[in-house]
Amino acid sequence: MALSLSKGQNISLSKEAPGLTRVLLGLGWDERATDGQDFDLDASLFMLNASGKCRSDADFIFYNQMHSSCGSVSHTGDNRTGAGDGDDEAIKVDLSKVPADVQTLAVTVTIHDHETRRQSFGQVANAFIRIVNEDNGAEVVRYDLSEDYSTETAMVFGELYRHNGEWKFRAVGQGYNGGLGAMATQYGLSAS
Amino acid sequence: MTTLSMGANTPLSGQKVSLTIEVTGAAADASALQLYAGGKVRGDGDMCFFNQPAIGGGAVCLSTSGGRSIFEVDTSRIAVDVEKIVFTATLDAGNFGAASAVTVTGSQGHRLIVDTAGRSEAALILAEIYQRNGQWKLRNVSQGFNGGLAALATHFGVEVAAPQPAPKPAPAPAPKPLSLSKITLTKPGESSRISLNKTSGGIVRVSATWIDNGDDRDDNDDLDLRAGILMPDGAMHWLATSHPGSVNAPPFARHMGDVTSASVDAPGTEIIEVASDISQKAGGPVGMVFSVYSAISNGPVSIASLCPEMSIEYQGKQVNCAYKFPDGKVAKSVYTYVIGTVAFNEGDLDVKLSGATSPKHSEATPWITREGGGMKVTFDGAPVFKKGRTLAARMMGAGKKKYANI
Repeated sequence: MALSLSKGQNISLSKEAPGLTRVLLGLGWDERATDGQDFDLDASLFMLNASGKCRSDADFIFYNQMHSSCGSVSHTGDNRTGAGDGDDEAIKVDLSKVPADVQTLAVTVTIHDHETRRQSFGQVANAFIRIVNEDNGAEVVRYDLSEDYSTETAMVFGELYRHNGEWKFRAVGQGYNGGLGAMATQYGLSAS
Repeated sequence: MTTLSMGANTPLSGQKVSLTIEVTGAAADASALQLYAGGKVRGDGDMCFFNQPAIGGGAVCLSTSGGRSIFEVDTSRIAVDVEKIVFTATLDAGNFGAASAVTVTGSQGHRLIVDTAGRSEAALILAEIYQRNGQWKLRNVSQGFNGGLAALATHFGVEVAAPQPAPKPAPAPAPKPLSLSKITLTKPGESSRISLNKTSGGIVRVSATWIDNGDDRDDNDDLDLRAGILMPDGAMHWLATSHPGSVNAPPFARHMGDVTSASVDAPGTEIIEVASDISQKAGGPVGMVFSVYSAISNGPVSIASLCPEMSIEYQGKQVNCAYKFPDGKVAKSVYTYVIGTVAFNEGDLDVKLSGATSPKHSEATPWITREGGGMKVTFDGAPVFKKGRTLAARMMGAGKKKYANI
């Protein structure tokens, strides 16, 4: 049974899974059961420096830029409905290849086209993020967000960050209003 | 007051909480369902609504007050394998975009914001009470289904009757010989009076007849004659094969039994006998409404194609009600046809042809109320079934007025 975190908690990945280098960040939510337009949730990853900003546009990994230039982060593809069991979207990270001046990997989920579809996370059931050791398939930690959101349209699900030479994971669960553009702006990018 | 927007949740304290639901600007029914693993019910007993106001041994109880539905929940009584209780509102017609307001308030100071503007749904899951890490919580869900009750019921695993195939067209009804000795009413609103003999008493015989509709099916020629009896005190009694009654004791009328088949040569007949001095026995004027009904389980049938008629006989006097109910596309979705009403007074009875039919797909029973000098027929009596029916069927357009003897 993997460790389950609550909002704000953090763990040391180095201690929890010694030798962990290749991780899969799995994100999921339930397919829409009620009537209305599908929920198209997009997972993105922002590579942040010590000031909490992206060094350049290349540090923003999302559906239109699926690989980082350093080769440490790759997005596995867009799921537009949330259908199917398990992870709906996944991002692979090789911690050993993350550039030294990247302090934090922030994993976010935004609702595509939330304004015209009039959607918010409050309508999305059973959203989660989990960290899997890609070398052995074991789930290291997971965070179920269902209880921590309502009217937000963008969420920071969690952060992988360096602390005293080891990698840690924090269950953030922080919601924002706005979409992917607002999220990118927050991390120092100008998106259109 | 804590407001909960769509999707927001909040912890509950203590074991008791009530949720008050009010829909204005549209006719709506509020229900609660207890759901097990997978978000499904296990049976009809898991649905709390106006015809089943308490479920789960008192875990959820419904009461109504001035158009509001109040669900009282005792979390200490919720069975351990129940995952959550959901609270829903369904509309008889239209969608929630047309409702002027949906108000949901909780007894622990919670108000749920339900935005109805632009909503296309005819059924909404308003709220849910659920357990998270041992803590009971309340969530504003505010999502639903355009398909209304049927879609909602399917979502929660409530059995819904399958759509009916279209019936074959019925042949023209057999010509009826012209009678010179009887009074025959043929138009809605027409009426006739029979004098009653106060000294000899006797029985007033009301018989309904119908023919086979010629569709080569033997299983759908079963009509049931049913009556509602409005007593002088305003109470309504139900009279049918399931509630046969008595002529010697209230309601002073009895159903003579179920007849389940008919043919053109031998029409089916069901009979109700009424004590001619029913108004003296009951202590004032008595009204009766006579209707014929075909359960969906009898197979798809247009009652109109069975040409139901009714006659009222008393000591050699007879009044027939022979209205030709319109037969058309929707006729097979109409289950109850009101043939006529009879007003019993001390010295006479008035027979009036009605011709009213229940709304499409409605299991509501005809109800009568005194209005002016006559009686008004409305379709808001509680549904009555010979045997169990799916809960969804029992809820579809069901009436709410209760019979005194059920």
